[in-house]
Amino acid sequence: MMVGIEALNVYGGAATIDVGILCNHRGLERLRTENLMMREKTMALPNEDPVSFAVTAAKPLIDALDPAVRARIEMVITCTESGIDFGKSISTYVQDLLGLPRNCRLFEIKQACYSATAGLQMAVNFVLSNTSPGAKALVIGTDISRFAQADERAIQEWAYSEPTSGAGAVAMLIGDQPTLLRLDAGAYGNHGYEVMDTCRPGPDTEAGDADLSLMAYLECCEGSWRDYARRVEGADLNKTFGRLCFHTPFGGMVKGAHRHLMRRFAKATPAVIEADFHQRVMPGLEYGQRVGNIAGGSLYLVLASTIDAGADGQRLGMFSYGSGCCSEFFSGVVPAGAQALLAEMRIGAVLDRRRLLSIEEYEALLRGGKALRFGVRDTVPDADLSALAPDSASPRLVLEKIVGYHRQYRWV
Amino acid sequence: MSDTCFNVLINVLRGIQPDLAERSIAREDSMVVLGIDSVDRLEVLLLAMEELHVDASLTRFHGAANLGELADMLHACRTG
Repeated sequence: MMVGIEALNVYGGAATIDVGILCNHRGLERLRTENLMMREKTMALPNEDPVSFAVTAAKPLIDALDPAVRARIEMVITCTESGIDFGKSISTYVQDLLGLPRNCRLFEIKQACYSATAGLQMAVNFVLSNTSPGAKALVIGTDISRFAQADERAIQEWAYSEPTSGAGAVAMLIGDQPTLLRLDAGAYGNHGYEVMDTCRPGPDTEAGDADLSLMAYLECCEGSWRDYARRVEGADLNKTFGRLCFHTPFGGMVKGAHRHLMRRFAKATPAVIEADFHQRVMPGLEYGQRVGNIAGGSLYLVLASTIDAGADGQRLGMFSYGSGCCSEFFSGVVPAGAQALLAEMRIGAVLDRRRLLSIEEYEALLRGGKALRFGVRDTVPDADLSALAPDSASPRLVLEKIVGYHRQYRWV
Repeated sequence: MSDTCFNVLINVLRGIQPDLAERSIAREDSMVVLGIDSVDRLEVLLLAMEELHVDASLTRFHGAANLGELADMLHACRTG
């Protein structure tokens, strides 16, 4: 039985900031910012939240489905570390706003940036179990970073993570007709343990230790690969995969992880490693360099970039990492025709339509106006700041108001 | 003593950051103060571990305040 990703779309917001200009403005060292390998990052507007991002990402997929196929979506999993409620999951809004059937499991998964892979594997195993033959699952990684608002000290502490923290969502339809990525069922490896590298102790705050996070990421990269190689006979890091996709907090970190794996497991020289990075890894970094780190969805931004750049017929090695920590190395094959199919979503062209913010506008957004704080009972998003992106930026869902904790949306 | 480990760290460090070739580096110096970014700090540790044949969890080396402490940690792993 086949299983994998049948359709995928990325939504990278309506407004963006040039990361080079931002780094200059903050006085960050040029060499270090070059190592971040970032060009732009998406900023969420006051009338955007993880629900609006998730639904906007999923809408083109759902609209393209035959009604009979849409009726077979029996599970909606939202994967996020930007939850809007301790009890009610974002997936309930998603199901309603997309008009999906009510015979549907609705829930949310949290494990930092690993969440969307946990959601993907949950959906994959639902399909493989064949308890509801032909059923499909919608998995959405959706995250925004609204940190450092109205607090100069917080912006200083944010330092090098500010240029990389983005906002976005990736929606994936999982089923037994995998036209974009046919997963290698049973081919996976895990590595996880308790570590306090990065966390979100409050709804609008993030804390962490960059060195410890890098150590944990790399240790997991090695550990999950070892577990994969233990399970999959003949697995060879150098020969088995045509492309390698890594969870991407920033490009420099991926480059370091790839270098370590290739040195340790392929005994490759620096020149070979550099050439391999450009051939097998770099094609996947495109969208992340334009959107920023979107946590759970980050690896699937890499997947979208890789397929869009041309990977038909290639086996992909995929590494997912979430702080705290849990990780997974798994694999799949991009079927012939996947590139043409994904091109219909015009992901790059939609990113091109974002409004480029000035530094003044960006900082006004950081100060927040009437920002959407966690737990707000009644509010209307700041109209002036929300208008920084024109309604014509793309067909997108926006938050109109919150009444009695209940969020109400409209399409623009 | 961890002098061997310290010397390996310095050699690796200078290989990654050639600008440091002429600068004297003391046990009290930290890589942060020497201007090494987080990815390269980790690379220095990885290369030193390989050269010293140290096989240990990376997170075990978290919290070293300077190169001397890092050398002591590596030395402790070598001697068990």
